[in-house]
Amino acid sequence: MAGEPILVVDDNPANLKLLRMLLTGESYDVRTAGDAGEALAVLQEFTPRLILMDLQMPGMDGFELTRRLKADPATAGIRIVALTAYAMKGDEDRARAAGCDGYVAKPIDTRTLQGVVARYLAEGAAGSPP
Amino acid sequence: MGLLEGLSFKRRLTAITTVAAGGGLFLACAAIATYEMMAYRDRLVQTLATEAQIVGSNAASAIVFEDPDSAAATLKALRAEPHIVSAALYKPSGVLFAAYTRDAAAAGEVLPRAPAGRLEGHEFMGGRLSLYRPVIVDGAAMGVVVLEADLVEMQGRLFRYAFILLAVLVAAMAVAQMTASRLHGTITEPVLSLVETAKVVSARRDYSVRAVARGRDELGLLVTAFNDMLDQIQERDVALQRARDDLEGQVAERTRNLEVEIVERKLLEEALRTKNVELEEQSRRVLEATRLKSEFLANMSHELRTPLNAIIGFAELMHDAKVGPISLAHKDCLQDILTSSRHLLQLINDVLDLSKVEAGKMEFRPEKVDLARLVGEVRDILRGLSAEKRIRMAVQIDPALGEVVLDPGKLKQVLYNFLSNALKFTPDGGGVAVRARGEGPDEFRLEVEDTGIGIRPEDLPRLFTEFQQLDASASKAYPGTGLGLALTKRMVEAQGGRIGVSSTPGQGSVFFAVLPRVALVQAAVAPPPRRPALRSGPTLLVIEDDSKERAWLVETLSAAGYAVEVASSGHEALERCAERTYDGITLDLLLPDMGGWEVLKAIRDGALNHATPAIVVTVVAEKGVGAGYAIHDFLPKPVRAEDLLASLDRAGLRPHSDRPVLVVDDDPQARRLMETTLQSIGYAWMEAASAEEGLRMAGRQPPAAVILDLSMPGMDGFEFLEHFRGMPAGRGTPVIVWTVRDLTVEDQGRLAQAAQAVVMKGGTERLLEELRTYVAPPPPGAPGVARGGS
Repeated sequence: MAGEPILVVDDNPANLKLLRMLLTGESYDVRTAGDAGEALAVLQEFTPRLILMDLQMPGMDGFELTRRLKADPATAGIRIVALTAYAMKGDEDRARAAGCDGYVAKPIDTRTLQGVVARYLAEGAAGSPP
Repeated sequence: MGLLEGLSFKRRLTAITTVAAGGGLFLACAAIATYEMMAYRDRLVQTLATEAQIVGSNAASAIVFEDPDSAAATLKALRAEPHIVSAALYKPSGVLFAAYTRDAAAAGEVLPRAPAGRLEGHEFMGGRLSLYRPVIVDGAAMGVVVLEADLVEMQGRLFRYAFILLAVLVAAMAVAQMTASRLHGTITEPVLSLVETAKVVSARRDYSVRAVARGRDELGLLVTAFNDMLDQIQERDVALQRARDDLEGQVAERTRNLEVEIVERKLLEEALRTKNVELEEQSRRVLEATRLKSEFLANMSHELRTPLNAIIGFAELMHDAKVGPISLAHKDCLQDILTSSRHLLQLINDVLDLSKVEAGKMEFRPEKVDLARLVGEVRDILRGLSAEKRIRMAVQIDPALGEVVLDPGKLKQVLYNFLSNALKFTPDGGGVAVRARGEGPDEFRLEVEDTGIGIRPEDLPRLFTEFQQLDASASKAYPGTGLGLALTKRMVEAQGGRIGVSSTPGQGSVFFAVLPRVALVQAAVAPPPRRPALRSGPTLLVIEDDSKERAWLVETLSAAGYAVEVASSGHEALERCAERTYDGITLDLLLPDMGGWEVLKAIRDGALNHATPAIVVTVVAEKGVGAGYAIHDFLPKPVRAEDLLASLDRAGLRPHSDRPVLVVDDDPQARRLMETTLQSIGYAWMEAASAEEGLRMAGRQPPAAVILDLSMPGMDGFEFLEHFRGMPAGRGTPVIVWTVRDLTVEDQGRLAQAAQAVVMKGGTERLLEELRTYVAPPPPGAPGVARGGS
């Protein structure tokens, strides 16, 4: 599955960089965006199969961005996995309610992330939402 | 009536009745008596006139015939009339013709005399009545008959009258008395009864008593009037009584109401008290909770900082290639670790500060602040960022502002937050201005203007709220904690100031803080005295009055790693030498107040520096004069640095110490971090896992300096310092406190006395800076000597 396009949206540059390094290391085609606006701009020309979405961002947050993407037929098919430092009960439900297909709590486990990403991509390919 | 005043009414009445009756009777009797007397006299005169006429008729012939005897006989016939005292017949010529006297003895003496020229008339004289009548014969007066009668009968009558009068008077008086008594019954009695009634009324205050009315006379009217009056009084009394009863009723009603109210109020008070107790309990619980929260946060920040310290420290070591060569990629990753960990550290610090300022526990230590210097220091910290973005930083401080007294640390924090914010949001090549000026007599304004992206008006209210970052792009480039402005606001407000911002989107913003010129909060403790300038390397005393020379010496010696103290006069030098032992002394011979040799002699005579090597540095070319004084060397001015340092080296005074740096810390990772760090620089070190062990080690081997953790199980850092400063090895040794502990003002005060520096854990960078200040680093290549005790 090398070369699968993935977009990472996170307002923390260090996290963004870490994710890019991790995923690039797995030979994915990784793009990053520091906020919702930038993400929308990237999506104009780049159609990822998976978006790793930070939920807590200044300006438009991940929930809102997810809702928009899922509402837009052009992007509705992209699988969106929420990344959040929110570790409270109910966060996952909120994320799913917003349209996220999956949920990964921060801090991410660098040793398991690749597996999680691969699984979501595979599920996306199989066409059955998890 | 004047006489009657003072008499009782009864007596008065009696007196009046008696006098009226007596007086009336007397007057009546007197009138009757007088009338009787008059009538009697008239009758007497009549009688006497008749008798005189008879006598005259009888005696007429005798007179005509000049017969005195017959005349006398006629007169004698008057003897039948006893009241006639005497009688006489006078001839018109006045010659006595015949006489008669009732008493023969008095004959001739008391004969009435015929009045001259008078023929008819009578007169009362001396209790007698004399009467004259003419003796008419044929119409011609032939003589005068004079009869004289006494008034004895009349007087007798008078006496009788008087007696009767008296008797009548007495009787009248008695009657009057009786009448008065009767009157007393009818007049005085009712009056007295009235008086009695009045007395009873006034004595008993009983207005229901009534005087008895006994008729319709004036007294009756009086009694009636009196009773009327009593009626009215009684009525008024009743009205009064009713009013009083009403009032009493009202008062009683009020009292009852009040009592009810009091009871209610007491209940309310009781309820309030209970509530208060509850509230106090709640407040105590809240306070306790707040205290626990603060404690928790303090502990948590401590617990968080401890592992962070190791993370940052080791990352720094690796990043700086102190543990072996690393690739650029590694270095890059390590830089990310460092940035994120420092960010986390900042977050922890901000959260702690925020919780402290919220709990009102933030301590402020106001002191005089040199604003220009403070602004300069903050600008210097941020110089890297401004240089990176090519942002011009202008500083304008109104010289008229004068002095402000505030906590300089907190003021720096405020300015730092403003300024770093401004730099973050100002595009490359922009400009940022810091301004300070007075605002009113008591306040001043500190503002930072940028030419940044500005803030939309609707976003302004969120600006000073926690975890609200407005702009995604800027925060991406320069991540903040999201707490800076919120914290700044709380800190400014806690100092009695206010904070604000004005902004035009696209043009820039002006953040300002208005603070009191003199802090409203009083200093919790006095600002700590300056720390003793301890250095681990040899400490030299430079005695030099010329400021330029002195500056050169200080610079040269400090650069070489010596600790330097200066004295600009002989007296100052002696004072300093009396305080401590120096490792070496440089002495200028030309001093303003004393001769150089004199100073040296005095220093030698003192207890502390009698053996201290002294190097004389002077333009005076009189080397020989030094003979007799123990001097190590003599260097003529101008002195070259190499010569001076070589001379010190010959004296055994080498700037770097080969004594180890003692690390006292219970955290093994911190110890290992220090070990690696010190080793990488070349310092010798030894480490102790507890304060007790540290003291033992310091006793065996005096350290060059101590790096001391404060929070340790068992003996803590403060106790260590107390003991250490009491040891010979500890007296002059610099101590750098390296801690995660959140220091109170009191802690800071204690440390100011005993430690040379306090560095918060979070990497080793700042610590090494401090260490270098106190202990000259070893020359490159010198191997670190591990003397770990544990």
